[in-house]
Amino acid sequence: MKQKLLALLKKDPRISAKSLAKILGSTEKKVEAEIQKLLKSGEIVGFATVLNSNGKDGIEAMVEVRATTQRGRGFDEVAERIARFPEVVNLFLISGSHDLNLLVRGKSLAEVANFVNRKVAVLENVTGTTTHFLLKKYKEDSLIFGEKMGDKRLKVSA
Amino acid sequence: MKIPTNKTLASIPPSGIRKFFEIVAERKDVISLSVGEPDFDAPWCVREAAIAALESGETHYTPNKGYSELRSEIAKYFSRKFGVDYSAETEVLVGNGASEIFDLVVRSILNSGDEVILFSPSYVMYAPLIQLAGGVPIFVRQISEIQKKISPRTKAVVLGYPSNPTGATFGKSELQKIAKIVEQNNLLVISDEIYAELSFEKKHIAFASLPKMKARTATVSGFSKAFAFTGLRLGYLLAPADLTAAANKIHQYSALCANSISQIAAIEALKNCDSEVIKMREEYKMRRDFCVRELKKIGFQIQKPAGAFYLFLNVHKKTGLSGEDFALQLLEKEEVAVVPGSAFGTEFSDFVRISYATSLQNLEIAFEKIEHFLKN
Repeated sequence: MKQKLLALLKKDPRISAKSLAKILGSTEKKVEAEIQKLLKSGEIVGFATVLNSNGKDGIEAMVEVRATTQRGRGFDEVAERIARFPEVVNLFLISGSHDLNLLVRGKSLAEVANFVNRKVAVLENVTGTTTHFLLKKYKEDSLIFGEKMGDKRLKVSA
Repeated sequence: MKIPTNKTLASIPPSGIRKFFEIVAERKDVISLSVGEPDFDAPWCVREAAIAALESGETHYTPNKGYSELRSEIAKYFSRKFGVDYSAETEVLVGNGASEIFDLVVRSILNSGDEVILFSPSYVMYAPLIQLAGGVPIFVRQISEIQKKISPRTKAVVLGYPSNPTGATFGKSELQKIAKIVEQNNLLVISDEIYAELSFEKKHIAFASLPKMKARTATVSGFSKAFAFTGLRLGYLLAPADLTAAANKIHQYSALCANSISQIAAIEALKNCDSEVIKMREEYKMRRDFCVRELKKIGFQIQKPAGAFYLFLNVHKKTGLSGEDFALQLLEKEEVAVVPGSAFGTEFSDFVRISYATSLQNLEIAFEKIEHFLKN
């Protein structure tokens, strides 16, 4: 049940326990309990809503961060510190020319730039940052912006 | 002036599906459980390959039999999936959908008055195409009836499994029984296996994979169902070389070749779409289980069909309504469309065909409406 449940929630986080129970052939109670279990264990981190925020709600930037590792902890400490800032929407440790990749959100260009310079660049283990302001989003979390829904098929066919 | 059309054609009644389509087409907010094609669009990699093919100008005739790369990929695919080896050069023919392929096969083998045995209910195109090819369709309900219906004029047996409209399929022992009969009576088999990839319980067994059957089997298949490819119209024949050559002889005059862009898309589908096929199959399976549970909950007796994306439901037992009345009233009162079973033969007037090729969300609403319909 777990894998199917996760797949259904991933596809539609708003799906009701009633629908899940019907689809999985289970009861609402059992489904609720399973979701609670998955939340508790951390397997489900949370439920997000993807907004079409292109240019409407402030500004976003991808920020590349170069950092030094710490004995025994690698990049974890610096990453965990950066992750706590509410301005940071996504944070990944990656391979390649830099170490951490951030998506930062702010009200204005200045706010985002200030945040990067004053909060991230100054951290002890951070050796450099490069900020790329986002111009337009086409796809996020597997969802394509502006994609038209609807059934293109004939209503009845053999 | 009234145009005098072909007598055989005039004797064939209009399609029951078509009739119902016209009724449903007039209505707007219908949840349709009457669609005989996947609700998925073709996988993006396939569409992308088609776009690239158009851009690079692959807009010309192809070899009559289809591009050799496609024929070779089809042969590899069939060998990998179902364990039967075909020569890409002489035993594979690509055509415009499995329907054209079926037409080519019956026109290749039948002489006027030859009889073809087929199961009832079965897909709506078989009988008319047999008739147009001069043949006589002879219907059976079960394997055990085949032997009794064989006459000196019997030429072939048509199989279609997993089945549209029932979703049922044949297991090994059933196929062995059929194999024994066709061998003893020296018959051909036309095996429409277009839903093979949509087998949920056991692995699909190709009829040609049974001992000694490859030599007397024409396997008809295509990309519409497994790869959600219906509008791209691409099917294929796997058959002994002489039959393939005969079918190609008609194909080269009537169609010349299948659509070049679709052929290139199909090569991509066979090379890179296994995971997409599995994903779609799992989704259909989840929907099937959902539908069967919901139908049982509201008091219908139904067995889990093993494949395709259809349920063939006797509605008369529970509601007292004929399939046609059930379908019309359900459409009128609840705006849910199912196909009356009579479209698949007059003896199925107690049935409806439910297609679950639609989202779980739609299915949930549809079954709530069906439940509401039954209560009133």
